Amino acid sequence: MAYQRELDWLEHSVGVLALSDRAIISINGDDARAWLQGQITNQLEGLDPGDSSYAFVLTLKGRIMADVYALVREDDVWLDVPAAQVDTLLERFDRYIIMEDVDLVHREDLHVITAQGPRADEVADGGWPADRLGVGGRQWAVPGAELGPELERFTARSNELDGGWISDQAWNHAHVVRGRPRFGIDFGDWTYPQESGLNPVAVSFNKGCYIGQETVVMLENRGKAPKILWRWRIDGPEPPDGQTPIMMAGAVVGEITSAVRDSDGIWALGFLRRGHETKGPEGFAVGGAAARAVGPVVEGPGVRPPSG
Amino acid sequence: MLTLTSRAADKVKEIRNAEGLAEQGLRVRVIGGGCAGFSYDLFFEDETSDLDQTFTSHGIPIYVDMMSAQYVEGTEIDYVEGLQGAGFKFVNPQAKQTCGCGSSFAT
Repeated sequence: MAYQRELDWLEHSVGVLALSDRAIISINGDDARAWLQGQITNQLEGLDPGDSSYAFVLTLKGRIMADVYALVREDDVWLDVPAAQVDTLLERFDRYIIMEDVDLVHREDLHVITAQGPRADEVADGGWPADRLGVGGRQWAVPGAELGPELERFTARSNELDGGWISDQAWNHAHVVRGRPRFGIDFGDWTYPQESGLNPVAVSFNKGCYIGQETVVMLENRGKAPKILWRWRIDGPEPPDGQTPIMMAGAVVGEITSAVRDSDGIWALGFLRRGHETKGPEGFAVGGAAARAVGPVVEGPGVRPPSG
Repeated sequence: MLTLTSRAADKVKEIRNAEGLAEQGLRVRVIGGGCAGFSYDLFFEDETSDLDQTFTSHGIPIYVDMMSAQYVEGTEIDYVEGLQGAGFKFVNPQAKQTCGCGSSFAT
């Protein structure tokens, strides 16, 4: 595989790339932290400048509108958000600013660079923790004019650490194989937090109220999610497209969200409808090929790495 | 217009006296957040601004800023006690949805 070396860097040393699908919204004002605490699913209290918090922004009905990294700074918070969701989020956030001293600005001048892998913290000073694959990670927000030079500097440093620059292909591949779903591809406004499998890293169950919380708490304590994201191995020559049905005994029991080919077969992520997970890993088919359920994302290495 | 039930007014006076806040008014505010999107906030205050609407109910001044006022127009504030606890309850005709604990609402 052309990018096997990049996957090895992500797993064992460090890989660096610019995340063009992410954007920065700055949140300023005396009430910024307290207000944001009521908008996202994870904890902001107790965080210091240089800390970060991975979280979801939910709809009133509890579905995922965006995944975000709250990047805490001395006087404000920067929110790393999906670039495609900036306008939707600004509109949504603005609706819930009444008399609070909160200003929102889409910082189009800023770009996100990330280092992922066990040696990510050695790439550069500053930035914020941002573990996007379950192997350790850090990220920085840099002005557009500095993006190229900074990416070169970070890449050179990662070369010294036995790592290097990561292509989009390798980045996509690593998410699927490690079982770390991505917003807009594997989950989105059709998904509850517990369905995504990311609830252990994105949801606090003792932080108090936030928008959409009631549904999340009810699912956690009283109900069961209608579908759950699982990791899959699939036989066959080509990875299936997104939305390819997952079949069992002639019935549709789920659908694929993303898939890649590895040297020893196909890895995929896909939703399994409630009730079918108890029937064992075998007996599934995707696109006419046999498929095996490896395990739910929530128990996989992308969410619960062995180191903790 | 915002009103207190007589039960709520008695409780407000009781708390106000206990805290030594004499003739202070009751500030009612709506803040963004809470399970259903908006939350109520209540506290004593003796200062108003040009942005406030002022009402009086059972002798208690009530202050509401102009932005919050849009969300609580016509609300009656009651005080309820039960086996699961006691507290102020907002009966807001504009609330299309409330959360389980009643402290948050959607319009």
